[in-house]
Amino acid sequence: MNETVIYPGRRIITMNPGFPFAEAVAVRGDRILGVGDLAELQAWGPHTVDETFVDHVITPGFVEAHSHNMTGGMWANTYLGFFDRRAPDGKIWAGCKTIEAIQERLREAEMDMDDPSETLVGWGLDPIYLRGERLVGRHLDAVSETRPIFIQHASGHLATVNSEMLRREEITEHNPTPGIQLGEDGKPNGELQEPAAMRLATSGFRKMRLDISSPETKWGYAFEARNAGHTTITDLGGSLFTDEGLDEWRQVTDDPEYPARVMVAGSTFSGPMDLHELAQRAVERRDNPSNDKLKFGIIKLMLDGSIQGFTARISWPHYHNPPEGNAENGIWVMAPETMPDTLEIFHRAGLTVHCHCNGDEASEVFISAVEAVLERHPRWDHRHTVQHCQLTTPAQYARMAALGMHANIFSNHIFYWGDEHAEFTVGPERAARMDACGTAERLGVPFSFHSDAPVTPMGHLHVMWCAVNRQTSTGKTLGPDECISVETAMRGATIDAARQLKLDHEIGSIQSGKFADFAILDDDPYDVDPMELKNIGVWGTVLGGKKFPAATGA
Amino acid sequence: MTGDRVAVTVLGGYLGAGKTSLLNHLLSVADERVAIMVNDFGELDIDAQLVDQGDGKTVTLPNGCICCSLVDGLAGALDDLSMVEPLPQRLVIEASGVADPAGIAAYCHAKPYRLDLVVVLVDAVDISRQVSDPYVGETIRAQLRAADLIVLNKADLGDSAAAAAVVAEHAPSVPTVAATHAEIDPRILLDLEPRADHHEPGHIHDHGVPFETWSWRGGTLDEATVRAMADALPSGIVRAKGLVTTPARSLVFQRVGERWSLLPTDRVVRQSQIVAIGLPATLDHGWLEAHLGDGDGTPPGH
Ligand SMILES: [Zn+2]
Ligand SMILES: [Zn+2]
Repeated sequence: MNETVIYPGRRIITMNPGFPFAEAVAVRGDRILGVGDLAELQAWGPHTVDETFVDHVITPGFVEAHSHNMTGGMWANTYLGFFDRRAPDGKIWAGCKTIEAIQERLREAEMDMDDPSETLVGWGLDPIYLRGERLVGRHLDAVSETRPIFIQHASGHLATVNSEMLRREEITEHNPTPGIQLGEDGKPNGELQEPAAMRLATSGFRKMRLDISSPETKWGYAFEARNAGHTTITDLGGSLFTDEGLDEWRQVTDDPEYPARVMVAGSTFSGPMDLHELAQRAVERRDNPSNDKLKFGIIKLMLDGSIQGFTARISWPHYHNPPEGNAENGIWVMAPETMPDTLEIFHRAGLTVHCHCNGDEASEVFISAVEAVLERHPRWDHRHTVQHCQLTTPAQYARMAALGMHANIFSNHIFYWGDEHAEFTVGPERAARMDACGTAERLGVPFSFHSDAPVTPMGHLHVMWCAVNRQTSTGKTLGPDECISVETAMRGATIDAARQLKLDHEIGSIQSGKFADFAILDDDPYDVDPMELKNIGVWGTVLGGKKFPAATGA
Repeated sequence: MTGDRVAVTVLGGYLGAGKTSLLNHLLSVADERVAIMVNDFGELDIDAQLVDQGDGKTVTLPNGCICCSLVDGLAGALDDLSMVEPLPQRLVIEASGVADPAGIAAYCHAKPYRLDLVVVLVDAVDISRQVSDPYVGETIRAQLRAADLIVLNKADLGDSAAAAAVVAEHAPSVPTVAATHAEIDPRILLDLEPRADHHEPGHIHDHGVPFETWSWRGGTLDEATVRAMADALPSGIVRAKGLVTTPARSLVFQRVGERWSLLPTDRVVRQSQIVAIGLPATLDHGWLEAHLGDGDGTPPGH
């Protein structure tokens, strides 16, 4: 029989409303034996007391129900973002606040490269925050005139390359690809807008593609989760849903050192597959688990684009202040009229469908499809989920509640793009009700929230901070009526996220019988000033009873 | 080598317009190695035998991509195909029913590809309703604007005059042809290869759609003359192709829709030749001679 270990903590926050707080948690093997005070737990018999967390606050491990594996592959290249960011190995990379700082960071990276013709790739550049002149190819020539350099911007929609890249890939002003920006001399200045133009810088594009499909990426992804207190993460579209692709997931999660449970969504994004076959595979994998860390049962679909890219489908009056020449409304990724029949395939197979809907016109199409399919094939407890759910209206939330749907809300948007939304994309009134956790709670829609890593950095303490305070990056409060309490936010980060993934019987709260999955925090989310939530330190996690300290970068 | 780039055909159009019929038709008339990318998920209905005969490769494109565009399905698929040996001679991309063909065409100027034709199919029975649909109306109007050639399909089933009027309203300068079962002239769809040994100008009705061809043959030309002619070709010309010998080098001339190129080639060109195909009576008799000279070295206008 496995040994019993009792962990006393400063406080145990169980997220079990019937037993919300405790002094200690007892673990046997990979499961929680019970919570209570020391005396109560000692009644379970022989045990050891482990005082590692005696000064820490123990909560259920955080559950990220919308993120992507490629997060773990970004760090193969050089970080150039404006904000400080922690790499999976724990090293804190200081934000680059000037063009000079970017050049210096690239020079350092270049010194570590042996092959003089290899392409140097950087990522995370966000010119919005850099004052003064715009970074162009000539600034990168100052780093190297002989090695191609490729810098991907934080938005994912722009790249800046140096003159050597332009020369080697023959990117000239005569190439008709839209998005090749020209300088005053009429020659390309190194900025490539949108993926069609970015792909012309083939060596940089290829390196990034290779980096995000390697096994190291899956490890880096889980390390990043562990560092932020997450014990369960999702790959919501992106994984190859073939035997080979899924075996890669099995291999990493079989390793006892792999520090996360992963819910892998079935999707059509990375490989050809008949939809019935996709549904069948997801069911087979769900019902025949290869280990306790690899989970299946959800399907990702996608209806529209992004709000900041002006490609989300937004109802009249559409966009507020779009760039010149922009279409009136966004794009469809799937034809709306095909949604009911597509949904029906997965619905009838007993799976849960998670559909990317940024704009309210997209959520309307998805909610209506759920309604139509439920009429044809009534089914209890489907938990179909509107993903992003950024502009979902109160009327739509009311329908979602009636239909048994869940919401997964992109709260991090408020901090990262809230000012842009008020000024450009949807205007102040609609921006104030974006990512409306308050409305979801009032109308009874169970919800979680997400980082969509790598779109924004993974970390539920930050996402909770956004949902509770709704502060933009310039410190404005966007729609105070949509703020939620810390307690509601804690549910969204743990038990309600687990419920959305149909894993709430195993994870999401600290109670007898569930997996011993904990986030170990330096401070108590209920005691700190809510504005300090995002600054709470994370010791690391416990996953299935095993300690995984966060990397410190030392 | 510019002459050997993979010609890319983009097939666009809303659901039910006949994209797969056109793809199958194209495969049945092509005598080159054709690769196919299909963007709609669900069941494919491509005639597998035709694909095999084409000796090409079928790739199903991922539907959309993950939320942030860091990895783009089409860019990745094009990159993979660019490393296949031998390269196909043509790539046909069947866009999804809601894709903007212009967005797909934007990817097709990267080595080793050359954008050839953006053909958009229209369901003649349903187009009047579709262009004003609250959800997809704008998507369909953008598809029409993106076309080099619009095929008004199922012309036998609906009021094709009304459908043609709708198309003309939204894409006034795009040549439009009516078709049944998406069968259109392969010389428009694929390539107009001028051949020194045999070429037969004149009217051709073999697929039920009348097109007229015009051709010119002569000696050495100068580049400026060819460029001026290319700019002057009216929009009723759907496709033009030429091999040109100049005092300096040999060139390949390609014009599709409004877009043309004049690129160096390694081919040995002894005689300059130009062929154009388009809607009947687009060019007056003698138009090419007026712009290119008599073919005996006499410059145009003499
Ligand atoms: Zn998304
Ligand atoms: Zn996402």
